[in-house]
Amino acid sequence: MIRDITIGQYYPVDSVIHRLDPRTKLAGTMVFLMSLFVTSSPVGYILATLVLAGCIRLSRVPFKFITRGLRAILVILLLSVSFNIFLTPGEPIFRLGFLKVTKEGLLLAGFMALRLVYLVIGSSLMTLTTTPTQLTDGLERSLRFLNRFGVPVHDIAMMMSIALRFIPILVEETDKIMKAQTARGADFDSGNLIQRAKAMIPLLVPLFVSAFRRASDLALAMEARCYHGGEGRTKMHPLQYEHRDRVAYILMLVYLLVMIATRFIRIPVL
Amino acid sequence: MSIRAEHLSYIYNEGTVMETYAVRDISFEIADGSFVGLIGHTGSGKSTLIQHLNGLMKPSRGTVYYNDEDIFAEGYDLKRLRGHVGLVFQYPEYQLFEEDVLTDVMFGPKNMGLSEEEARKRAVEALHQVGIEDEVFVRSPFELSGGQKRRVAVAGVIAMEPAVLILDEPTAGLDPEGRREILGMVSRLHRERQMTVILVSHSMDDVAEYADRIMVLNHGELAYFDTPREVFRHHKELETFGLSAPEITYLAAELADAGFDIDRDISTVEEAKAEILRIMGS
Repeated sequence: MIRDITIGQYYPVDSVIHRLDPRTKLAGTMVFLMSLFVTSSPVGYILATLVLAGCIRLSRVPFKFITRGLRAILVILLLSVSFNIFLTPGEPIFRLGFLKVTKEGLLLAGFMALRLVYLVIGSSLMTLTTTPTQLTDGLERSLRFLNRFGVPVHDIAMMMSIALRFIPILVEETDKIMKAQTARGADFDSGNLIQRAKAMIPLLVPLFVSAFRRASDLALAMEARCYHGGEGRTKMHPLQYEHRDRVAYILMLVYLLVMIATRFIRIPVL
Repeated sequence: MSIRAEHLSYIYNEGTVMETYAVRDISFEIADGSFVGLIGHTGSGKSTLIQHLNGLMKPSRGTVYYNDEDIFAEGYDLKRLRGHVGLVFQYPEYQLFEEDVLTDVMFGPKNMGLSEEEARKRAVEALHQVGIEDEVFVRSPFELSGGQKRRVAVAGVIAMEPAVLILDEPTAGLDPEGRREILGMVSRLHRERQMTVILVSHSMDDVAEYADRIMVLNHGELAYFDTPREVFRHHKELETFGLSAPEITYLAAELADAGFDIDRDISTVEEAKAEILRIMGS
């Protein structure tokens, strides 16, 4: 399961989406996420599905690769769906003991699940098509105005890029330690909940030790190279908007407006 | 009694643009009681290959037989196999986790279902074998020196009393003193307990001194599997793989070129000494 986390992983192919400016992709992801919460009508969801499918197609990242990230949120998904189904007041469809399933609950659960799934797919698509460096460059640039309010944007961006960079490293490390302990006869897959939790100790202790060691090594290496924060630091690849970015922004705006409009369209069936 | 691989292949990211063969169509048989050196350039598939031998990785194609039983067959007890085929990973000290050294070494034997007492007995024995003194047993594994940690970690695997011991670059990052200790300990285990040893390394000198067979991997393919003498005879080809023969082999070649009647295929200092004495005597 640990290898299923696709957030923070980059899929190296060349596509229009890959070539977009990271700021555009950030804005696009934000717009997409917002649109999911703005709309509540089926038309909106159909539109969002089409747009998402189109972007995935354009990105040339295999669909199988993108949906891998979903397995990691399966538990959250199941929980939120069942809470919504059983705990939403409204017109009851049938009862199950003290639990009652309502029409409103089913609808809400369905939309909730779609939202969560699209949220994960949308953000994985961004990280799959953007290298961590580009991503933080984009973030730093887009949030630079916050500097005036005393927010250390560069530092935050740097921390984010390090955190993102560490995800695959720690995943790999976890895999390695897990294998090493399995070679010593450890069993991570069987037993009841308490036994499984206990079986995690030989994994977690070395993992924490190694994370701290890596962090301290990295800090040393950065200091050795005279890292002193963002002040006066130049970029090797300064960000530059292209024609395709302008097109993308226009499309985003249109999409968002249409999604807002779907709020006011009522379909009599539902 | 042996480990046998048949047409073993492992493919990373099969079906994506990043598809790569880590190991490609490898077949070999390692007889009981042998000492095999496994060498290859970084990324040649050494680590991937050895993880197949105790069932930690499942091959994309082909399979592995341990004592003529297919270890990837349905229902094969992999956990028991791991007690027989011990694998010491690279930088094994990073897997230490217990509060004290002795308990950490007992982890393996206890997982094999041994009683507390038996596990303790084996742990003490293993720790003595790797040269850890009794007063260290109660200390935290995290406060030991690098070499000590490494030896404790190796003891963690030895305590399971495997018939086959696989070590992935056990000397990486150690000073010459530490290297000698670890290698000496491995060769002692091989001699005294008749353990089959597979030693992964990229130091030719280490491998040449201890191994009776050498396996050379290049880009995931098995290039050579022969006695050190035969393998180092191909030192020109080894160089194209980013490897080299032991220093002493080059010296012997230079001496032969200079007109001395010396055996060109020497691979250890001991052999060289005997040859030089022979020449000087005649």
